[in-house]
Amino acid sequence: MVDSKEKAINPQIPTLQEEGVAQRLFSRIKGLLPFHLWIMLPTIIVLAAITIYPFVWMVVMSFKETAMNPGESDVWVGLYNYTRLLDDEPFINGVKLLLWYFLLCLSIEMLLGTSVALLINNIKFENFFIIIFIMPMMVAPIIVGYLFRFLYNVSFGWGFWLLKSLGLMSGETILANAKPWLFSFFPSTAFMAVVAADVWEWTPLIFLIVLAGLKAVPQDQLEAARVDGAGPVRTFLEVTLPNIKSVLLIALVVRLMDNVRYIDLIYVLTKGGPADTTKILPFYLYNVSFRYFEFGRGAAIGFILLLFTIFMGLFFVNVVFKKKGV
Amino acid sequence: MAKVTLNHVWKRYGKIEAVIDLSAECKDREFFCLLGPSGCGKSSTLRMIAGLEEISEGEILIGDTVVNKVEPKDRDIAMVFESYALYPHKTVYANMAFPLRVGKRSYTNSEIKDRVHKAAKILEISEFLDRYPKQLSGGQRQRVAIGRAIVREPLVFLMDEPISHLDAKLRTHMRGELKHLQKVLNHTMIYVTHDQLEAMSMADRIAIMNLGILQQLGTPDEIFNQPVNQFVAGFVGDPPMNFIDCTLEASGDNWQLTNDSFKISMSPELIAKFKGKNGDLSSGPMEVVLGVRPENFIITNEKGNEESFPGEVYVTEPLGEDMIVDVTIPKNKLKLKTSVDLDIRMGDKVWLEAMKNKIHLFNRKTQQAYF
Repeated sequence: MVDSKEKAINPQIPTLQEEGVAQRLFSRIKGLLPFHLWIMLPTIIVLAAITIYPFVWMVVMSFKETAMNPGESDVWVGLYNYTRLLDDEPFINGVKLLLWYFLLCLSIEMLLGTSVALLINNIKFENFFIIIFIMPMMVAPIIVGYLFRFLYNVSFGWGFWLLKSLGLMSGETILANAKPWLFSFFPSTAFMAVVAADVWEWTPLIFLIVLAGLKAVPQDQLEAARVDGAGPVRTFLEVTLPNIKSVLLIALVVRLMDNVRYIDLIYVLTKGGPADTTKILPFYLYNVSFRYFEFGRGAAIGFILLLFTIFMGLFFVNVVFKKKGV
Repeated sequence: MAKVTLNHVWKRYGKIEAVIDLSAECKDREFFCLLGPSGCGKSSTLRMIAGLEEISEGEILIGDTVVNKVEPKDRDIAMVFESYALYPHKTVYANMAFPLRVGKRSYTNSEIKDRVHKAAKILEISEFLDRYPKQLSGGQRQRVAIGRAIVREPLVFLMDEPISHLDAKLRTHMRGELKHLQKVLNHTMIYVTHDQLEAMSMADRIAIMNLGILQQLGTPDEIFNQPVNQFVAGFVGDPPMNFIDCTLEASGDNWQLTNDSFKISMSPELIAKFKGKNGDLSSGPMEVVLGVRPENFIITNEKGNEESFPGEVYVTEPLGEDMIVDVTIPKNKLKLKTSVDLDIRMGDKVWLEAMKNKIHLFNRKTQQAYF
């Protein structure tokens, strides 16, 4: 508020009447949105710009055939990008391999990570072992890829030499389109080699998450189980496991979502070969979009992968939070 | 059902001695209380009996078996934890059935059902069997924890402050319930608490510990009326016993306790008790501590007899029927328990007299009791 005396001294300051207009305009704008939306607006705008807009654009793009040449415009193809996937051999192969990848990586990593966490928990020099075990996780996936390429190398690879001397390898190279020893049911040796690298790098993450979970298991429940007469196996199954269940599921979801977008290791190690035997869906998606530049088809595959991730995420979150008695 | 014997048991955590040379026996079917302030080693003792802590030295016997190297699950004990330690993801029924399912002895499903329902009935938790621990109140959870212990009918029950987290009213209720339960089940029970009221009201015998050392082992009556030292005397009773420094002097057969404010002559019986504990005044007067419980003062407005001594009322705390009166005498502040009818106010001058057959006397140096 400015009184007339001050106005006389400084004519730039608006008078009461003039100010009224500005204020009314301001309150009109303010009334457009509830207060909490106003303070969230900057975040919403940024989020919209970096995720929502591209997401919507991706969905739109999946209904089009994108034109790369100047002067040409996109062609609306409807659901063609989706329907053609049904008899797209590499796509189906990619889905199959991705499921294999989930199954093998997640089961081995969960089992191994949990076992190691159980072994390490509360032993002497625990911290030392933790540092040793989480080292692989700190190596960049690209580097892991190169490391394993050296290990698998036919002329000087230590891993290849080991498998060959043990009589486990009959092929010329580990990264071959051969069925692994014993089980012809599994994908190729090359695929198993990629899984091995993944397991080496990511088991530590599971180990770390599970170890944190184990630390949070109430000591008194474990003691009660001891007094009640439960042996170590019973105690684990009936007391420890239910207590770390949510942690295990979180570890699983984290790895699952990682695997959906996992291409760097494969890119370095096999580039999807030999003969597409390691071309899991994310890698195929990469090829379609950024090597064949079929953005429309790529968007369709990406959207399917996204839906799959969301579905799996929701499923696990439901399992985690639908705990009884809580 | 079995006795529990501790033979010169020690517990050391590194250099810290938590339990020092503890020898005690809990008789068969006895309600045995381990009482002491926090950090006195009572919980360590219980955990050693349970097998959750290793015994540093000495041996513990359950029945006639040395259990030093026996796993908790093979000791046939049941324990109720301070935190209840219920399994949060199991229903009340599953919690109570757990020891029966996993224990050494095997039970058929119908046996398990019978036992759980029987225990639930005793503890009045039958209607909660399908609930989860989080859906229960503190008192209900505590009863589930006890239920989990009693379904198995073990040799010994161990209870680690099971009711200390309940509110005061419920605690009073559960004291009676627990004592009744122990008599009904007729089992050996070792009960750890820091609350002297719990120990006094429930136990058949009490072992009082302080700083890892057993102070006194006896019935509540013995503990209360014949404390062996100043710690026991001060720990048991509410409000606690008053301690007054004074000097014990003898002139012929006339023995007197003197202090700035009073002179109390000692009766021949008290002198005999004093001498019976190797009390000796031949080398002159002795520094002692007089102990008088709050309820063992006679408080009057007028000087009663020549052994009365004056004091000033500091504050009064009426408790309905009783009244706690704080009285200052030179060098001391005394807590007295008296009837609420007595008409005294802050600042009043009152006369006090100690009931001579109820007084206690301690050596000021060793803190040991003469009587």
